[in-house]
Formats: sequence, C-alpha cells, structure tokens
Amino acid sequence: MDTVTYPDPRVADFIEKLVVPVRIVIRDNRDLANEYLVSWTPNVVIADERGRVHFRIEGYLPPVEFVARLSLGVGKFDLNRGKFNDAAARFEEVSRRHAKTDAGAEALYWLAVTHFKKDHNVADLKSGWEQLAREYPDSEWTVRTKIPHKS
Amino acid sequence: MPAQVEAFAWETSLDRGKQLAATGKPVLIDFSAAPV
Repeated sequence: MDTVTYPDPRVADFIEKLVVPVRIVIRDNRDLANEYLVSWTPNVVIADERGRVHFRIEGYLPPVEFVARLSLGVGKFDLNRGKFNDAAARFEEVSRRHAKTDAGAEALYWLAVTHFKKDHNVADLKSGWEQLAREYPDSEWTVRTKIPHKS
Repeated sequence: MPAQVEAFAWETSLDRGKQLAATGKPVLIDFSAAPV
C-alpha cells in the first residue's frame, strides 16, 4: 500500500479532502489492533469520532479499486449518520465511476437503501434493486436483494 | 532511497484523529506493520 496505492495522486487527493488519516503501527499498539479485530494487513477501517467502525477494507488493493472502496466507506459513514443526501451522492458517484465492478454493484445496493431510508418509500428500494439486478445479474449484491417471503 | 512523498500527513495518534474527526470527517485508520 505504501509503495503504490497511498502515493497515487487519486488516492492521496481523496484522503486529503475526505478523511482524517491515522496510521497505527501494530507492533507498537497491540491492544488497539486487538480491539479493532485486526488479524491481517493491510487493514483499513473507516471510523467516526468515537472510534466506531463503519466500514473495513482488508487486503491489498491498487489505487482505483482502493478509492472505490474508500468511497463506499464514506458513503456508509454518511448513511449510518443519517446524512442521506451526502450518502446518495457518494453511492451515485461510485456506481457511475466504477460501473461493471464489484464496487459499482455494492454502490447500487446501498444507493437504493439510502433512498428508502430517506423517504421510507418501498418503491425506491424496489426500483433501485431492480436496476442492480439488471446491471449486475450475477453479483452477490443482487443475491442479497432476493429476500425470501413467508408463504 | 528517497523519502516517499505523499499529499497528506498521517496522524499517529487515534485520539488525535478522533478529535480532528469532530468536524464531521470520518477517520481512516490504517493498521500497518510499517511505521509512517
């Protein structure tokens, strides 16, 4: 990550503008690493001002894929805090910039959830997940929309 | 080998990061085997 991903201008620009970056060296902070359930690196957490985890990225990712995951993380952070317009803008951007990728599929999933959480309109959730199924029929995120109903 | 140039600076204290996050930004915590 330090060799390629973090020095990449796209990654650095995203971090500079949108998050507070903290580097925790595990050998000097074993208790903290245990508290955050870090059993493997790279291990990146998106957290709030109380340290609560909103999103996690495990394993190496190259710059474009890392920015996509970070964007999803910031979107989840906003969604969890009820900042629905900000979350929707973030998920829309990921779905557009990272179309045809796993991140694009996940973005469409959470975009539909965000619209639903904002207005509690089931039609928004349904139409958003239908778009996901059309564009990503083989994605696990599409599978996650197929909620069985009691007969 | 020259020092790595980055456009951002890592905080090395989670408490400091959480204080800075009070403005509304999320904290990116990178757990690493390597120091900054």
